[in-house]
Amino acid sequence: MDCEIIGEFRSVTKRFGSAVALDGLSLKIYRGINGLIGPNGAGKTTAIRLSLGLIKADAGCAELFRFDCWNDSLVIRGRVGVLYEKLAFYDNLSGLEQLRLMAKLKGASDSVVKLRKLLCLVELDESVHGRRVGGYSAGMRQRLGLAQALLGNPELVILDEPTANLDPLNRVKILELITFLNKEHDISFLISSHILPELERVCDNFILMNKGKLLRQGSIVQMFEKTVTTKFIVRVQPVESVMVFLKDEAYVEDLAVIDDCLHVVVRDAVLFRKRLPLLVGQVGASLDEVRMVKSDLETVFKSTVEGA
Amino acid sequence: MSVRVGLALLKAELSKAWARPILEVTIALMAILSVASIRPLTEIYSQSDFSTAFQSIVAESVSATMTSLMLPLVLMCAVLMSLSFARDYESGLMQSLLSVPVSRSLFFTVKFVAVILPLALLSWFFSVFFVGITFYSSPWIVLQFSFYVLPVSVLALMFCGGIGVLVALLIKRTIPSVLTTLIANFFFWFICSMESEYVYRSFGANFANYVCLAPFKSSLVFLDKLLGIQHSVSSSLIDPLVSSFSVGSFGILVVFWACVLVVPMVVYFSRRFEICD
Repeated sequence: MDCEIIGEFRSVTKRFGSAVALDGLSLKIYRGINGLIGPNGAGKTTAIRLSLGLIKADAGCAELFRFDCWNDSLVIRGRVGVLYEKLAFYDNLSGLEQLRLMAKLKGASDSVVKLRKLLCLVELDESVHGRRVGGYSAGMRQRLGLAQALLGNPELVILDEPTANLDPLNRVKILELITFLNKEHDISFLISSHILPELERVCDNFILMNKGKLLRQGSIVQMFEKTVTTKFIVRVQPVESVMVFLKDEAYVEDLAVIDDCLHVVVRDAVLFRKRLPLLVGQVGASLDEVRMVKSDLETVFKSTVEGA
Repeated sequence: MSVRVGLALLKAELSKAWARPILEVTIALMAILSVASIRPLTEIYSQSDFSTAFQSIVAESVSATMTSLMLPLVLMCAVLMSLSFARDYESGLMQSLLSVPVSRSLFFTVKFVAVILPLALLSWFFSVFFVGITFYSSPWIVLQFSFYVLPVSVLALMFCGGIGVLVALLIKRTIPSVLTTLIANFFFWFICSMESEYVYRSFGANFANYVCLAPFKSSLVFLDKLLGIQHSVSSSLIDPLVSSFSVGSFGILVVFWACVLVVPMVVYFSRRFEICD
């Protein structure tokens, strides 16, 4: 990665009583769109809170824009917008009033025209701008939260499950908006989400965490390169005889016959490609086709987390 | 800049903390208790020195109104403060607000003021109104005496508000926080409101003397001293501590009680408080 680093965690540890939320976590946040992935309890939300100075690290160093996340949190919060998974507003205010209040708190322009424009940008219908937030649907609240995160031209926007509560059509629109804001306004994003295909579409850099530790970090290509297992579909005749031999190979993780094809999951793809023709020759079978199944982020996630 | 931010936040906090029916219930409760404190006028007609007697009875009426209002004020303040902090924490609003570039001390102050100021203003209004309707011919004297209610109620409410914040920041859950705050304040109120005479008879004068130094009692004694009322803790016991302490000494004592929880809470909230599940 030769992109500019805007944030860095170095051996950050955070404990809540006896539970270790972050266990010597080291990661880098690059300028661009960063995807933060990991199973539940991986420490993603703790990392987000720590970066905004809402919690203090027990050990290690966390920095954003070269400022210490705890001691200089006021400066950091002025340059960062955030959308939390747990959305909360002043429910007695209207959407526009809520946004106006947050604009004042962030020191951004509270011009009604600009705020309406921002609400329209996140696809919040103009007819509901004056309605009490307490009466908003989950999707409308999500859009209002997104508008709030974009207030005051932030350099980095942290989004925790930004497309939760949205229908597929609006999910696509939000992802397009994120890409647009990154390309046109140079706003960087740190997106935490469990919807991995979405992240795969928009993110330049991925941070994979589990149990408070960094498992892997890099671009999508780098993530695939280091994938622990690879899946192959092998068309061979007769299937059964090859299967018997393959079962004994140490690098084979999983084996199944589906529609007269062998579905093989291996830990070492190079060795499998080398050994397969030899095995087929040994049993006198005919090898018709060997196809590697294209890995996606979900496969990478699953194999890395399980491997860890 | 921070004044503008503070006022914007205060407006939002006021509308949330005093949303229907909280304000209506508070006003109704205070009105009922204030009515009960209205004194009959007959006793001043028999006095020869009418002016002094009149001023004294206005002062006593203000004091009586404030004494009647103290319990609902204390409970409402503690509950609303606890509710304000715990509910925001639980709902995630506190997390959102602490993620904007606003200092934590400003956020704390605004939340505190949003609860205490309306309660202090209400107690002042009720003392002016109910003492005023009795002594309507002398509005300036009523206003002059009632004015003392404002700083005294602010100081008294800071202590019980501090209990509410302490409980909310420790428990962090709305219902348990509110209930614990209610119990804690009743407990304090009970201790502070124990009759000196009972303490005197059961444990001796030395213990009875110190009741006037307790948080809620000291606020009322301070108000009485400001109003120039000779305070008697009970009918048969003239407390030497009340008599010997000056108004200034009680002022310092009340300020101490007001700050004893609030100052550590502000420091803790600004420097150590963390948002976690």
